Amino acid sequence: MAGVSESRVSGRGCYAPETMLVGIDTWWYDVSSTRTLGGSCTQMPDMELIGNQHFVPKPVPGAVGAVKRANVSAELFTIPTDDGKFIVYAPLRRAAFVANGALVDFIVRLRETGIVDEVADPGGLVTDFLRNLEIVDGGEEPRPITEFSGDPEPTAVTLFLTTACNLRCTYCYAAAGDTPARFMSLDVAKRGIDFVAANARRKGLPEIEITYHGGGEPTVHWKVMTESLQYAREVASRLGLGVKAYSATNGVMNDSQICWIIQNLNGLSVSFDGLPSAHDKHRLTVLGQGSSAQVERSLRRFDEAGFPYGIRVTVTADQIASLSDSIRHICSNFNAQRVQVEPAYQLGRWDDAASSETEGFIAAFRAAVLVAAEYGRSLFYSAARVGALTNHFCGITQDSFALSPDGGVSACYEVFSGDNPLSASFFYGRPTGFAGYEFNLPVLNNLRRQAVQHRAFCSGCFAKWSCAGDCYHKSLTVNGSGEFAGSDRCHITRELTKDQILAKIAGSGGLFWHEGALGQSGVSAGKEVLS
Amino acid sequence: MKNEQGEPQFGLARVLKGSTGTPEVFTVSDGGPQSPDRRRFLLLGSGIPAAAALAAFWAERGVAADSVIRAHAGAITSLLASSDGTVLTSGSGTEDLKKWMLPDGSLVGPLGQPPLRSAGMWVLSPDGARLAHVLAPSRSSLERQSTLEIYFPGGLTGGEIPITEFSQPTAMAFAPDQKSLLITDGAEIIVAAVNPTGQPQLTRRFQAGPGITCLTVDRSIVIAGSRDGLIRTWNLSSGAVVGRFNTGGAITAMLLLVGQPTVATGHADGAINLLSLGDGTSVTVTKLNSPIRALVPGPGGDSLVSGCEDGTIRSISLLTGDSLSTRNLELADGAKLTMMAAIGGKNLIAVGTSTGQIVLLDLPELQTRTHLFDPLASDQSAKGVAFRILDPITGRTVTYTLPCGSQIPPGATCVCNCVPGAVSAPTYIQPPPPPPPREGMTLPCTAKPIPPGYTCTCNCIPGR
Repeated sequence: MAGVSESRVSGRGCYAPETMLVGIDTWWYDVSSTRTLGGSCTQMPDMELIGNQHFVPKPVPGAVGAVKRANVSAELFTIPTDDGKFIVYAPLRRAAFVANGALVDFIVRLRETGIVDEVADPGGLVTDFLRNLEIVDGGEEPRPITEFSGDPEPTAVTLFLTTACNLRCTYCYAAAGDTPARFMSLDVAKRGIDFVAANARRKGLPEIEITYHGGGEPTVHWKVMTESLQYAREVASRLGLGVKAYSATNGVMNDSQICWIIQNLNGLSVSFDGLPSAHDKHRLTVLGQGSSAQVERSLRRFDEAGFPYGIRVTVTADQIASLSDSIRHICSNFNAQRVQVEPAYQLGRWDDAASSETEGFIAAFRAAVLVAAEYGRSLFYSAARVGALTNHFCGITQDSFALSPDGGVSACYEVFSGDNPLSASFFYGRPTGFAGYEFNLPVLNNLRRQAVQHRAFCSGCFAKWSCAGDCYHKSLTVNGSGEFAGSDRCHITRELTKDQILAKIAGSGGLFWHEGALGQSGVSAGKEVLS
Repeated sequence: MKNEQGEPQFGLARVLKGSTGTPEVFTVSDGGPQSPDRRRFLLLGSGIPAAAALAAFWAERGVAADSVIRAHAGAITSLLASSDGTVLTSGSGTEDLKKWMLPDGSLVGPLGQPPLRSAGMWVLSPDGARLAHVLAPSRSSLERQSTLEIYFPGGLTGGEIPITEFSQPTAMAFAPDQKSLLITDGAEIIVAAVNPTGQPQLTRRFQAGPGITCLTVDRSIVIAGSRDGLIRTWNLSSGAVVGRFNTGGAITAMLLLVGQPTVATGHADGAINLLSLGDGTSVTVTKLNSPIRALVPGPGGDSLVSGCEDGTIRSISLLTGDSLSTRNLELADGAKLTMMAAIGGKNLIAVGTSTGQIVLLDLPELQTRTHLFDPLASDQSAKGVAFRILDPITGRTVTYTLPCGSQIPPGATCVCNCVPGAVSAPTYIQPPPPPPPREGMTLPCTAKPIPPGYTCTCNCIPGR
């Protein structure tokens, strides 16, 4: 080091701009050190104060050895690996690599000073590597934020047709069948359809979407299911719109229902737990018998017709050990377009059961991913979705429009009735007059504020732009009405997200992953039609 | 279910232990189902210096850290020439679209403000008045919805519309009336009407595939070539099937010949056929050794130019079927020709490669006119010769760039000036054969004409 010895600056060193012989730990002057030096540091005129802590060299244009400036332009996270390394992850650049501590610190220094450490990067190639990943000098990062305000104008409606169900699943979050059955009238469905069709027409969109969902089994209320879709088609046709229709189902249905679904719906999410032994232990008929044979029969019919459907596997604590076998059973027998695996929700009939949101679930999921890969399939867990950048976990932050059997407007698939304990948080509208709805904007705006950019707890989490804050309903179940403070699901989400990042790196040649920032038009809306 | 213990803190922060030494990056391997101990991801080796990761970055994009003069860092995925032959727009991967002036190929900069991204598929209307763009969802997206956007020259936005249940486009084409746009994902053809304000509207979609790789429109007939070797035709307004013709092998490129009910088809086996849409006759004109990646019209409409994946470019007479000229681009190992575009009225074609090169070739000789050069896309070691020459057509003096060591055209003037303020002494050595041998000589790098037949060997153009 030229000019000033390390000992004279209390171990912090002094920058010598003419030589650039500065070490990693010799860049910094803190204010107190330089004051004690008095006039002994001859380089002081060439320094400038950054913030209130550090002096850094001023750039000297054109001079040999002038400092190289670079700007860390990505929101970065470091995720420790088991063996002392770090996944450096830039979610909004869709970029990642695995680094040692020296590289992490190099980036930290670059971010703090805006100056390239030429000892660590004498040729500038490390900086160039980061530049090419848009981590350095990549310009402003587009943030994947969409926000809603004012009265909602949905163009998709979800109909909770009934709370009645032909199964008595042990882990049913809705406890369907234990409560008095409620059924939606056709008029309630028509009002919702009229509303979204008018919105689509006004917004110039080409189609509306109608989805049938629980608390109970939608196909149990068959008459209104079929007649409401017929009505939607008639209304849409008059307005020059198309209709897309989806449903969730337990898959227990007769031949004519299967035929109607194949002919009329665009997709289906079927709850099916894989191995018959696993499925039949928890997914029981009203008479207490297993339902796997009926569900498999439906799935085979869908496969024969080439009908697109997804399978949702619910994993209870006792079924964690057999998850791989269940996935193998599914992959080797059925052609589901997507297989979603979720731990059972400790709610409804499963309120007091053992949690499956455990390390065991993570290990079983990882093993099941390998099994699925043998069949060229992948598994999906709702909150781990690297690459799909969004500030919305689901529809509740983006004006999801779901109608309870009596016509109330809910934002959440898990709050399907006005007598639900959390209905005050999720029911934000009700029918008014002969048509349309009146909306409770304070409730709706509170839901909108659950988008991840408003969640202080999530701000330091690397998974935030893909998990997007996870399920608000589950958050309320844990915290009551308190501030979100994470849950056991967060750990699962982070571990599986970490896997996905590593898979991205491995699949991109092994050294780094870089797909580049998404334009706003490429941002996922976070909507999960099939879950 | 319960709360977590404390807030997650993964923001970038100093590492307290293990932060000394050389910055390194580690390779990640996907062990797959057979991985030891069922541990899927393995961090391999002791790491490589992060400085070397830059070379890996380029290599991953098919770009070696070499002296190649590049227009883009990655493979060329779009080449759009304006109808008057004055502007070329190029795209690559997720980079910005870039605008180049023709005929000299000087870089103007990114297209649009903010710059438009290359990602997706771009097509230019025949009159050059509309740019159409289909942006597909990322492979990892949960959505299966693409977006069709219309832009005006210069990057001004027209309008956009979502295309539901549509993923990656495989081909796009404007109809000759410029008002209709066709897009296919290989299986389905979507017809969109584009109004004068640039607002698109989807008017028809019909099943057409499978495996459509190329698409064009002859008046009111839609023509599609597929991997199954079939050319299928439909009525544009009704979507009714008009014809179905077997050309023999997987179709990788197609060109509708001007004023004739005939299409030229390029095939994966290197064959180039002419197919009469009248009687369905298909004749093989020539057979090359590599898949045909592009077919573009030659000068005067009586020839076509084919581009093979291995870099072979051939000009073929449509009158006799004879080869008029052949050129091999001598691509680097592993590099491929990816795109070609005819530049209207200039007797030029632009050729793009998987290594980010764009070369302008003069027709019919297929001589290299210039390499498009963006220093920010090229490696530091990229070098070339820049020379100035009079364009006999426009009467303007233009500057061209060629790889280092290239022969300078007679009458050209070297304009090398690598190091600001330094004395540059380019050396001109003899090319084989004559003029008669003599010792190499040096000239000041100050716009001196280079003797005819001599080769500039100076390293004139620094990378970054």
